Amino acid sequence: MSLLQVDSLSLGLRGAPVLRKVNLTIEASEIAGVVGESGAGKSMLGKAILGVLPRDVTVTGGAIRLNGTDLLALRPRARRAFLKRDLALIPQDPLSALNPCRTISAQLAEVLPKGTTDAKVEVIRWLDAVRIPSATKVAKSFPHVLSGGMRQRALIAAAFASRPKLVIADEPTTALDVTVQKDVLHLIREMQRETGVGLMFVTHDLCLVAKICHSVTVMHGGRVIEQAACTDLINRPAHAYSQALLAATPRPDQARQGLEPVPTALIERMVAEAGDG
Amino acid sequence: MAEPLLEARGLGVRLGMRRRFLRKDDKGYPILSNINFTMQPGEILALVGESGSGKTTLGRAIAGLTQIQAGSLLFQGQPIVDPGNVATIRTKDRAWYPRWRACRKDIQMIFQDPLSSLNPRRSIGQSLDVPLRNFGVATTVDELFDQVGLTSQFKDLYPHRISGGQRQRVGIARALASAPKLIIADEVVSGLDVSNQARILRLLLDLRDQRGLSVLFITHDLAVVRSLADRVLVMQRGKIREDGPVGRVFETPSHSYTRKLLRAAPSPECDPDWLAETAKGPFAMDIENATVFVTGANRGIGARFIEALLLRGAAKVYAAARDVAALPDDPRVVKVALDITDADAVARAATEASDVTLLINNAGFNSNSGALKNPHMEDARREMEVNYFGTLSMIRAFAPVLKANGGGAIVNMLSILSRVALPMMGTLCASKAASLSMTQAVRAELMAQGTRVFAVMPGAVDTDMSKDFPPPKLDPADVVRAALNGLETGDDDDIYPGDMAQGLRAGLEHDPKEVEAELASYLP
Repeated sequence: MSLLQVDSLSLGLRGAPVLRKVNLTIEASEIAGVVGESGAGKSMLGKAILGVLPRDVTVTGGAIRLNGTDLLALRPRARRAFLKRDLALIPQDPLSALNPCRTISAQLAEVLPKGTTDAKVEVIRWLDAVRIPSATKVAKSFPHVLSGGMRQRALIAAAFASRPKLVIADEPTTALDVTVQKDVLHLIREMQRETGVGLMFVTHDLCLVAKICHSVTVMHGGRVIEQAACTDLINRPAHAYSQALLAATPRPDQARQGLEPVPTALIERMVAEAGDG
Repeated sequence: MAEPLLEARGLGVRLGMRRRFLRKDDKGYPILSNINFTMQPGEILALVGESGSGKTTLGRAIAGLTQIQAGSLLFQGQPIVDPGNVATIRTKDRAWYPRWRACRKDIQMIFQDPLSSLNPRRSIGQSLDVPLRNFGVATTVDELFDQVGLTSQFKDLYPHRISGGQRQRVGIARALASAPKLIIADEVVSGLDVSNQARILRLLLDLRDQRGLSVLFITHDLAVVRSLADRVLVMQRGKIREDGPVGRVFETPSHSYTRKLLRAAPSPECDPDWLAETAKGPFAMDIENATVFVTGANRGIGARFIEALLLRGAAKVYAAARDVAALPDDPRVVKVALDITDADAVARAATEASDVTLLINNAGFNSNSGALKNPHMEDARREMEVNYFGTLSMIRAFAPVLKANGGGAIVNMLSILSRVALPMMGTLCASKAASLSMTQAVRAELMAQGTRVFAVMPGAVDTDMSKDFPPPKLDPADVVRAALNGLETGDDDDIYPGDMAQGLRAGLEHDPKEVEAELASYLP
């Protein structure tokens, strides 16, 4: 049984389709990338799994199974309890995800699993584990005094401290510098390896996917375009859209690369082929 | 070569620091110092660096949005700012303002976030109309739209209605309204997806090719720099570290910081080992399974070192102190009674601890007295004896041991006072400065045998030795973490834990004379 199984999930925004029959499987200890351009529905997929869809967006079909339990069939209270125990999110914007009025220590202590005896020691241990310098000081500080990288590290600590089974990382490094980005990605992978959780890595950057993911799902217009192992997708992309995405990605090792947008003709053809269904 | 379009000579910018808010002699904090570069007409010059490196400040200074305090800025051979007179632009000084005003038309800026830089209550047509009228350029809004690839139906829309990529085009159109010669583009493609990014980059390239427009492209994304720019400036902590053609800088970077940036820039190729390689810089050292010798281990930072080393899986820790009573009982801890000023005892310790791979010289003495105030010379001698001679004799004794064990590393616990003098602790500073100088000498000498030598220079640390020093003080455990993390990542061989040390270090790089005044504000 897979850790996460999304079966032909469809979402609608006041009748207009947002996701169309999306299938996705994530195993334990796997890093599954979800890539696409803005509006592809990749963040919506993450939100649907977390159960935090915007008010207007409704599930119009399909199932989300976490360890075999269908999340959509659960009553709201039971679902929340389930999600609190088994799911965690590493958000895109670390500042808005932290409570500005509470210390890092207080916010981290909140997510520790039930029965933790010495929360303070445990919090410092986690901050240390995510390589935060001056962990003692950081634990006592409020989010606004920390740098972006430090905030993101604190949130990674929070995500893994709750001992979840699945972590959803939604563009976790877009707000960060290149060197910090690499450190944070390395950290996410190390923590993921140590804890053996499944990780869904939502991003628009194929470069990052190539470096961290085991499998990749390419999305466009609410549809899954291609699903493949990471090496296959990067080296031998099957779908024309995946090829175009790769061609549009600038590379640090080649001049004048990534100046070709995905051709409009291709997008029109894809929309026409898929129809409205 | 033709006359450069823009030339910066020794440019310096300072911004006010909050702590000095009400002080009359407010000179602010240096953000940029001694910036020199030239830009040719029709050149796309990329400015890269991490957040806080000063790249946006430099862009804003050139666009005239931030006041320049030092150096000069020449646009087409004409100086356009007067650094002597800080209030030049605001007071519309007669000699300078017309010149400034004239080149405002030629230098335009595109901002990172088009939504916040466009007036939400004006339609896009109105937003573009204002600069056209102000600058008296005989272009219409439709022609501007044409240049950036928008259709004229956008004219009546408001900024919130259009997509991010389209908004960025409007930003470019507005910058083009005055028919400028130079455009400063600040992170214009971060936040856009690849297709829109490609369209904007292509547009900038086309504008350059067709109209000879120069672009100063500020970004943190190295891949974009490679695909767009002709030349690149690499900035770090307010200074330009490298300046050269893109191909040369990317293929054979000469500055270590550029190499570090390039190592961190991902390319779309599968390589699971890529992430792991960052963690290890050129000076990396494994603490797990290391055998460590720590002096001054019975209290303060030394005691924290023992705890942290055991936690990180050191195989064996020799804990040395004059008084071994306070040392922890642990099967991995070997207690050594040692006075490091006793050369014979040090030599004996080195023969006994022949399996050491990491030596941490932590023992130190602080008399807490100024250079002249203390009536006796004894304290000053004692500081030199422990901090300098003691550390030196430890290194002399253990260097052969480390060599026999395959290189290893030496950590000298110094202080930021190694680099700046403090009135309260004059003699301590002298001994710490001597130790820093010795550390550098030893580093050079031991390089041949593969022993890495680190200097750890924290600011004020909360131990009983510095109890007279006012807060904020660093937790000793945090100093130890910074030192051990520095050893494990190995990016740098000088480690500066804490904000105070980091701040003073940055100050030292910019203006060593200012630092003493800065330091005085930490005194009671």
